[in-house]
Amino acid sequence: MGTAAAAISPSVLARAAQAQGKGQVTVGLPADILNFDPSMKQFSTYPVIRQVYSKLLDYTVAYQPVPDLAVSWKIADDYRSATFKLRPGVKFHNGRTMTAKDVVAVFERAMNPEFGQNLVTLTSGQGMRAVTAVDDTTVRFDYEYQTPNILDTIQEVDIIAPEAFSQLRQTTIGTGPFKVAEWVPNDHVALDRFPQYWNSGRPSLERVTLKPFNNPDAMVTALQTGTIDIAISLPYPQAARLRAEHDLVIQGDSTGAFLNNFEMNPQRPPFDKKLVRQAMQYAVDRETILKTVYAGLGQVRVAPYPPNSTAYNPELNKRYRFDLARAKQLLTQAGYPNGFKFTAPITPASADYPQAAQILKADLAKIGVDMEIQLVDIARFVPMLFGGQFDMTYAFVALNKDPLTLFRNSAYRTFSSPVFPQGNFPAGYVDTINAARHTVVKEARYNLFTKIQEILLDEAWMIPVCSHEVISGWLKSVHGFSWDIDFEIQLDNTSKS
Amino acid sequence: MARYIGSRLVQAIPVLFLVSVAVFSIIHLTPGDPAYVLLGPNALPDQVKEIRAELGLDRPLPVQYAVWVSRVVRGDLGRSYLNGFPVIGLLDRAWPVTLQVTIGALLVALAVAVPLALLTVRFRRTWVDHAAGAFVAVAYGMPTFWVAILLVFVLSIRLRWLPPSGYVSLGQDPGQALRLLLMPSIALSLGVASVLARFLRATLLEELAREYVRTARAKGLAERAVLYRHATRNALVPVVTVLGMQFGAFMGGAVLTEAIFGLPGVGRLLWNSVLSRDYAVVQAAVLVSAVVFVLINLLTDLCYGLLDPRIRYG
Repeated sequence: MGTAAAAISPSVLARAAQAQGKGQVTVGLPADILNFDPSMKQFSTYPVIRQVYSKLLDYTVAYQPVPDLAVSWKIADDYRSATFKLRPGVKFHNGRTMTAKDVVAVFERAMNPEFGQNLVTLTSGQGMRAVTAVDDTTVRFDYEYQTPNILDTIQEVDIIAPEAFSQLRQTTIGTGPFKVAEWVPNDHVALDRFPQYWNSGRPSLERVTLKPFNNPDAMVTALQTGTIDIAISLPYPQAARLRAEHDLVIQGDSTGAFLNNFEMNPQRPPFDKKLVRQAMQYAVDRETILKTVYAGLGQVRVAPYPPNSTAYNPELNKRYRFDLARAKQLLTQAGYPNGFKFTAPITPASADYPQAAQILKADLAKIGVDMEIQLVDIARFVPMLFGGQFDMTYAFVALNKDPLTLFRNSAYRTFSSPVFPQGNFPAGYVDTINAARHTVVKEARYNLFTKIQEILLDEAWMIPVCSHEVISGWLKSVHGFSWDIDFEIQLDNTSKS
Repeated sequence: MARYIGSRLVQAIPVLFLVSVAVFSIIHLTPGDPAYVLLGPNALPDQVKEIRAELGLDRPLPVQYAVWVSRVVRGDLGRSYLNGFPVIGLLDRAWPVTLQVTIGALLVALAVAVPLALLTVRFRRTWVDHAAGAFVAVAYGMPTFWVAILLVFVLSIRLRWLPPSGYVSLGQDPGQALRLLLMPSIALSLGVASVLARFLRATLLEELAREYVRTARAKGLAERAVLYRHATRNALVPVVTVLGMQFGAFMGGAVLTEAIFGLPGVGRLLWNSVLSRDYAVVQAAVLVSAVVFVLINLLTDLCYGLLDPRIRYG
């Protein structure tokens, strides 16, 4: 053993890094990508999206629109149409020039219930009615009604060469800074520099390798030893320790996009009683969950919207605080002075879910409520969540961009709701959301979103806990690594010294 | 010999049929749905219905089983539900990785167990015997995942001698491939090595008590020749049986070691496919593993003839 080890020489890692070269980076991921279809909007596929695709426009983390494949756009005064001027001469990875007809084909696919997958609710579901090629470099979008979040509906869609539509489960043709070299499922995705990328001078890297790790600790070790250059979704308990390592940069995503919630099913007793749901709001120790589960990275939330949202109202965040005595009092009023027992299916797919549930379970036990945590894997959990087969559960929702984003998440949405399957939503909820959907006046929208949040807090089937930040780490020799508002990582400006 | 092999292969058919029924039933009766994995928690009911129809999951289970088996017997293992790749291609890439680790672990286990057993027999009831016994007990008691973590901590993080994870094929870069295989092979082998060492020691002691050994000694053969040339060869027959059976343990242990060392083998493929309910991949991976296990058992039986000339196959 000693002989074998000595023969390997002390710096296998340095040699590996040298062999890899400055023009290449390896990115560690918590899971393999599912495929190259961006319409699935799967979190595991996000790391590949911004490398191979571009959009007409993108948002910075601060929700500022920036041109991408479109050089300019104009939204009609009535907010019922928008016209986009495309960047001329943009090439697809197969060398073909992108035209307005390609963009139309991509949006028509996104709006088509047969192929659009999760994009349907983000395009036609938001009022997008027709997309027309005015000429080779001009595209017009028409909406059924006044749509304040027009730019969101367009930013959600990645531009794919229509000839690649049928291949998206295995490869793709986009206009992004890198093109697909190979995908070996279960092992790696290799992306090569696209020399005809529209943003000349970018990317500086010749090759990017995306490497999935089943075990987050193995990914941490690979980062520490320089086997990989960047790691996404580092485990929270390791964040503080890794920050102390002098050759690593550790950073949270700071998009404020991910909100963790306990979700109750108001169709099932005892959560069919509003007083019980409100008691649960008082029983959640948000501060402790944020501090112990998420390493303090994020913000405690009582109302769903983050401070950078146009719907943020600081007064609403004072509505509930951790107060077990008050929770007990409400339970007594609701007819449960001795507490009750319920089951909470929780997925261990992300380590924070069971940890947060354990904290709530311990606190509820103090007021006589027996919360039984049932660990279920993700393939079983998703149908349970979607089908409303739970008393209470814990999951995150995404709510960046326009405040309406919140209502595309299943527990908040007003159609195909798992928690109000009969459409028996609380009074005023659906009407107020619909009013906000069609209102463009800033103050009026703010008031409508405040009203919606008041309904949410009063009816209390959702318990916002805190936002969480996705932690990334990279070697100090890596420069220019960034991400957009959706936490789609960007490597077009990344280099390695 | 050919007749024996033929009859053993025929006997394997009902075994494989039962395996196919078992794996199909278990994975399909396990709660969960690949359509939801593909579409995510914000999917709409109509979209889920469409995907289920596309994957053939809306048909009755017996029909799905019949379709799958009819394809398998024609050599078509289907396509992954998640990415559409042919399952045979996924297995074709994954099996060599698992086999390399398994063979590596087998070699390490033999390299540790055989000398250890011989030493303990040669120096029976001395400090060497006791020390080896203690090592075997400790090695047997250490879980594979713990050994793996320990190896990574010491050899990769502290000493920086070996890369902590990754895989390159032997054809691509033999040196780097062996470096990457070393830790998984050691981690996987220790438990089996300790079982083998104990077993070989016991059978060697039995052989040394037999009359042919007394005769060999009476003829004036050196103790070394008695032990290595005569007793060891005879003691190896039952050891080969144990080794063949431990092959299954190696394949089971590969799920853990492949996750820890980032190896794209069958264990990891199977793990990911179970979690995402990629039925086509799970069914094929388990069925092919069963075939490999049957073949290893056959090979084990054939090895008896090489080790003991008295064994004949009819």
